Amino acid sequence: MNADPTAAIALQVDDVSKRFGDTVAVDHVSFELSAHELLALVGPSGCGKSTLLRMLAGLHGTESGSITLGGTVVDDGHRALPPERRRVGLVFQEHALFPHLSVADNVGFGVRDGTTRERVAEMLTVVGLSQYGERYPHELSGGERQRVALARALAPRPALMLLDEPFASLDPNLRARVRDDVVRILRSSGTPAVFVTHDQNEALAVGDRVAVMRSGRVVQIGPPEDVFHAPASRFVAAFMGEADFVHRSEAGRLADERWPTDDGALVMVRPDDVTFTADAAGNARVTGAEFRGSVWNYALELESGATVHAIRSHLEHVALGTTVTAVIRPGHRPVAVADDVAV
Amino acid sequence: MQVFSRGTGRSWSWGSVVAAVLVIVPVAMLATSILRPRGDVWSQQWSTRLPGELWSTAVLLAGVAIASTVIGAGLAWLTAAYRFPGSRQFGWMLILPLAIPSYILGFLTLSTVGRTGPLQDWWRAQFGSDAWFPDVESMWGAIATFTLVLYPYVYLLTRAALRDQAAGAYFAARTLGAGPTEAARRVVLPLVRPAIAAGAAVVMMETLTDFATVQYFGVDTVSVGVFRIWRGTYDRDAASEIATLVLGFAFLAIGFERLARGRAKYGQSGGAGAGIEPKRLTGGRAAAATALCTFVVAAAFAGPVVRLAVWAVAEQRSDRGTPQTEEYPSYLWHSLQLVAFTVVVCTVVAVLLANAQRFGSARITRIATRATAAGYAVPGPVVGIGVLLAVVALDGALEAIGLDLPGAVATGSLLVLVYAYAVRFLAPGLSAVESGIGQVPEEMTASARTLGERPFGTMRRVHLPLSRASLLTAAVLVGVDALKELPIVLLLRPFGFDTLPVWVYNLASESRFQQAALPALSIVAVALIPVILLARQLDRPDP
Repeated sequence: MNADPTAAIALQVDDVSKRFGDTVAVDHVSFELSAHELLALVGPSGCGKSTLLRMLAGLHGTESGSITLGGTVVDDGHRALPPERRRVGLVFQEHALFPHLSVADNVGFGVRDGTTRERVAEMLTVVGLSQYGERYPHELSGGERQRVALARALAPRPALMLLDEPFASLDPNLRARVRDDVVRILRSSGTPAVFVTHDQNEALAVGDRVAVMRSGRVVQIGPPEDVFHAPASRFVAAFMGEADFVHRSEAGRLADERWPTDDGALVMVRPDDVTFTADAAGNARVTGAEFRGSVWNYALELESGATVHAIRSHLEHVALGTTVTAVIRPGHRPVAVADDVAV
Repeated sequence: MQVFSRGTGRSWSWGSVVAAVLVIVPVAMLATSILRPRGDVWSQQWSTRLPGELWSTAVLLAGVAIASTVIGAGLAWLTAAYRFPGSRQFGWMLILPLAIPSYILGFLTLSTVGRTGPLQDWWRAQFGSDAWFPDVESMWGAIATFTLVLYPYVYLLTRAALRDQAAGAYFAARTLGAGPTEAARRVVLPLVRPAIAAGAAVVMMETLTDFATVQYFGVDTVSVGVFRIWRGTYDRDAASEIATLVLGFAFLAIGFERLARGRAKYGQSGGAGAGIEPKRLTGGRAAAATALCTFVVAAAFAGPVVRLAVWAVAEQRSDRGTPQTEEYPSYLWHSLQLVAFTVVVCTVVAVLLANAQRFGSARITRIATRATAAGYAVPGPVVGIGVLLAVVALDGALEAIGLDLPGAVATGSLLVLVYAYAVRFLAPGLSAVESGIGQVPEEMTASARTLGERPFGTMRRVHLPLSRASLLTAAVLVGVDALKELPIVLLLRPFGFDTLPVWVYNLASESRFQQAALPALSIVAVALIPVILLARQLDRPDP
């Protein structure tokens, strides 16, 4: 390990912007990635996350700002290093394996230091496909193709891995398993990675940090817990998980402790923050119930007319129309969020 | 020390611009020659042949366009909307005439129904030696010949439009209460009109390009005028000024297409459908439909091929001095040289242009590629004279800096000929290669690049292996076009450089039809390759 503090920064994105015609795809984005870190870039479709990834790879030039990879400026807004000189690995949703090459030739495609055979064998072992070298991509399952794509991208020892919706094409049963495999392999190789997804659960599960993008901007970046529990805005709160938004005074009435008086602020209440007991003199009424297998998600209409949701075990079922007393679970503390435009 | 590339793939963008300039410059030089007209040329031409040539050109284009539209669109509707004995086979057989160049069908028409042909002999035997028979060696004979050769363009485009665009809309109209005839009139016809117009425009361009076939029939068009001036006087300026008139007619044909298409631009399909359900014809109607299709296929393809085969065999058995098989190799060699050079140039340029769209600036390469492909729409005489002007200008520029371009530019050289062929035949090669590379996902290019491969290496290791079949298609399309081509080689060939088409033309012009059969048959045999491939595609049942 290098003790040089700058070497700990694998990637530095500084005030990067990109337009396509009149559309601003990426709008003054800045962030850093340290060595070994996994960053999940999440946002709704069209938010600019894939464009940002392509700029990191060198497939698009930036319009302004700069990108620094491992201490080298690779794009300064005027001149850009072409992708083949950046030492980045790229994995796509559709895997993009070369159909005319065998698995071994795919993995060895980018290795050019004379150690191709050894490196291919090593990488195939890492992804658990050592017996598959002679096969062709069309003979592999979706999960196997994904692992070959990963091995191919890792084989030239990239300084940074980029993954563009890498699991979106896999069916849900396979997805979690392949995802765990990929994360394990990335971590064991020690390669820092940026990971694009539109699935907030995937982002929370995979990222050391999560960056939420909207309309070309990074609206929040931080550890998954912070992004989930302390969202910077109503958009982030709603995008990262189910949430209701009520005035602080309303939330105060549901809490045991005394809350600051109403300052007009909105607070976020997630379904796991709320619990309730049947009570004819209660403060809320059950207006909806959605079965989710292990839990029920109830909609509770408060006296003010606002609605919050509450999650309960599947063992206890409450009929629609029941009057209940809703409370914020002890220890949960709904946080105030800036009221930007909702999702 | 890092090497930055300024922008993305600048050399690829510039390469495609250079290709576009090489295609455009000849046409542009020719077009601008009209800006400094030479009074003597125009007054001399105007007082002699020009008015007649203009009139003939207009009548010929209009006649061929109308007749091809009626026959091509009519047959497309007949085979798509009705079932009759042989209708499925006629579906693909009706495109076979594409394999017979007009300069071959032209002399066959003359020799069969012309004054000395067997048909008129029989006619006179029946009705007396001065019985009236329409004059075949006329505008009418020329129109009939071009129509039989060119109607497949209208037929093909209409058929495709009927299948891809009109089928779903036809069913929608039926469910909305329209009967079959009403649905055809109110929905199908408007939907296929742009396709018919496009087909008619192609037909007019192909007619305009010719100046060999029309001469058999004694029809003097402006294209003939250009040929006559150039081969008669080698006066470049005069030839190029008259050639601007050919270009003018080409613009008229394009304008006509725009007009006929109106504002309609049906990119999207009217919805996928199982196809228009064909109605079964019976009795006399079925017999008439079969007879009509049989007549067209017989007159435009089967008859001519049989006649050529019979003649070719008879000629080899005759005791007319030198057997043709001794002269054949030299003509074949010239043709092969020309085809090989053209195929190599066109395929290489097409591959580079198609790849430039992946590696260069999207906007620049797109415009450049479109401009390059436009050469296909420029009539042969315009390309020929334009290339001549461009090469002479280049020669002058090189001479000015003390270099000498080898080869006599004035009377044409192989270089000039290949250049002109490349301008004219790049488009079919380009579209084949483009569709091949289009099959390679963008992500595959990106993967190869991030794995450390440069653009050229990505092309070699990923794009080319994955689009090999399209390169072969491109080579075949370009090669066949180059082998068939007559007008440009007549205009620009170096002295003594006779190709198979030139041989056919020379013999046919001297009415030595039987001797022309062997080379003509060889050309048709090769030209059949892409037509058969297309026919097999048409015969495949709809998915």
